[in-house]
Amino acid sequence: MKILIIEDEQELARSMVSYLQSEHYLCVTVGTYRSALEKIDYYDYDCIILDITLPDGSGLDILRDLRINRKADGVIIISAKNSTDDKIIGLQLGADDYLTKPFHLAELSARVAAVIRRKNFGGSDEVQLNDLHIHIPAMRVRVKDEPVDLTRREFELLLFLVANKNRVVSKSAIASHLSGDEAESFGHFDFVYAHIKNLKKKLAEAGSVDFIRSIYGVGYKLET
Amino acid sequence: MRLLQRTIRSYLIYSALVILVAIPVFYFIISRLFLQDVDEALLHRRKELVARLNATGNDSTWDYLQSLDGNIQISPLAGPVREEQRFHFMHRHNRREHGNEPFRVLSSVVHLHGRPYRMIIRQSLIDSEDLSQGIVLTQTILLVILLTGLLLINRSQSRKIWLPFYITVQKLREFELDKHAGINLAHTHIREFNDLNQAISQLVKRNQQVYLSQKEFTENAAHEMQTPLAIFRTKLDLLLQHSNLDEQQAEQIQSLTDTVDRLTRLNRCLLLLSKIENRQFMDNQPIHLAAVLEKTVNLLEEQYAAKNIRLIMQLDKTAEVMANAELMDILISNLLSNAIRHNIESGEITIRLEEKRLMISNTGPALVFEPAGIFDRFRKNPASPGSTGLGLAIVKEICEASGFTIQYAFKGNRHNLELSFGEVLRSPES
Repeated sequence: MKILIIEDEQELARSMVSYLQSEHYLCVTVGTYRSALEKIDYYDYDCIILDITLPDGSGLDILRDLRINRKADGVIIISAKNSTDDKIIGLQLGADDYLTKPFHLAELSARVAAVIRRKNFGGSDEVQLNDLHIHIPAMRVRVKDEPVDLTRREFELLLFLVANKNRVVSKSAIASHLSGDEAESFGHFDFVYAHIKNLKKKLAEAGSVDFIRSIYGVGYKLET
Repeated sequence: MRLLQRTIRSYLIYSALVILVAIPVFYFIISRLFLQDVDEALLHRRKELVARLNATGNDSTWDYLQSLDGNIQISPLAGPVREEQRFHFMHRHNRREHGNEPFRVLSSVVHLHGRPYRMIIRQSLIDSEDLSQGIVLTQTILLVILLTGLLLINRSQSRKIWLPFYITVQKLREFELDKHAGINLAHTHIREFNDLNQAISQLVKRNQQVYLSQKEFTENAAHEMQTPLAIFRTKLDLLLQHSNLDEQQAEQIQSLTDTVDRLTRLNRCLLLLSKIENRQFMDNQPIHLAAVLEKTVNLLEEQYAAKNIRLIMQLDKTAEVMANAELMDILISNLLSNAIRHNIESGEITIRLEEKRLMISNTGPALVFEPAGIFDRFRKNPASPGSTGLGLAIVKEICEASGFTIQYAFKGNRHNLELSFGEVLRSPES
């Protein structure tokens, strides 16, 4: 899987590369509008992470260019502007997703996974992991052949951990993934712990091995 | 007192004074001039009479003269007398015309044929008095007409001249820095007003620039902070991936994560506030508040469940407001989050939505500051240091931008917030 990261802030680009590489993605970074266009012209990417504000142009023009050349690369916009207008324009121009800075790497990774999944497998949205079988559109989870009855939140949580498997996902990232900015505004994430506890219990009851590990209470890690 | 009245008042006082002083002075001067004239005429008459009488007459002629003209009296004087002449007034009853007829009298000692006589010549002042009175009256009428005319012309002129000034004042009164692009003052034919208008236009323009740059500054500053915050947050995420993390390091990462979360919240709130102030949420649409409330309650389920809070909802499903959808989401979410955050363990939240009112009340400890300051920015409860202190400030801002009013009261250990959509279905900017 090839990912192009168009981001002029080097440190941020480096962080993204570092995190996404551990998911075995091949990451290429560029920092300018011009070099981004060059890359896009010559290569195809499974996913493009696009910063809107670039020193020599707008990321939205890159989107237009992609559409004109009928490129099918999945695009996730990352913008410092949390503006609905930008979001709507970006999505209208064919971006697949929109993420406002500052974001969690786990969130980015989950979005990248979703974009690639949609692009590569078409309708067959199924994930096989450890002894879990997850059917995403139907929100169905089975342990071997045993169905697990999860609530919507628990399912979202599981999927989020799966997208970030073998990496530590902070409680803060989980909280904002599950309930957006509202959860963040409370500053305490007890409900994350409650959901994890329920999820682990349900998976154990279905006969799964315990593969969700708590890291000193800071975050959780789904190990394969 | 208006400027117009002020100037006119001074004119009026001055005119009245001039008229009051001018009429007697004028009358006095005219009378004096007439008297001089009459005196001269009397002297001239005497001279003529003396010359004639010396040439022709004797005593009988004089008597004859006296009988002809009742205004001449000649009587011999005994002994040597000094020559003298003296003017005086006298009044005599006149049966024919006037009750009392004024006369000017010249009484003098003359020598006729070498003998002294007292000659008294009179002249009626009736005509001259009539004349001088007539002249004074005419003059007075003219003066009054002149002054009234001047006054009226001045008044109408002033009205016309000051019109651009009143227009300018009206425009300034209607001007709002945050709503209007600029002030448009028409060109006038009066230099002073043009100077004034120019100065005002420049002042407005400068203020607007300062205002805009300040608005932009807040927004830009908040935007600029997003990227460093993103770096901060992603680096923390990476730090968490280290395989040989010990508990102490994990705790430190946790505390840094909390801090960056708080900074992020603060920054988002500031950005949101400046965007509401800049009226960047313009597209209004009819919104069913009951749906928004239910959606938000769902999102916050974990939060109120964690505190074991009981939720009582009475929603009028038909209640509809004309507002920006995004702002309504934020408004409701902030109000409910607030009711949860400042609640007590096993507390209660009541949400009542009526056609034109939304009331949210929650149990909770009383405020530690004055209730009036509840909507102030960065006003927060010391018990929850993690909050931004901007939640209700944003609520207030949204209410103002949407034309709602909000009131707070603390009654029976409950915080009550009441929102009224007084002017429902009204676009705030139109």
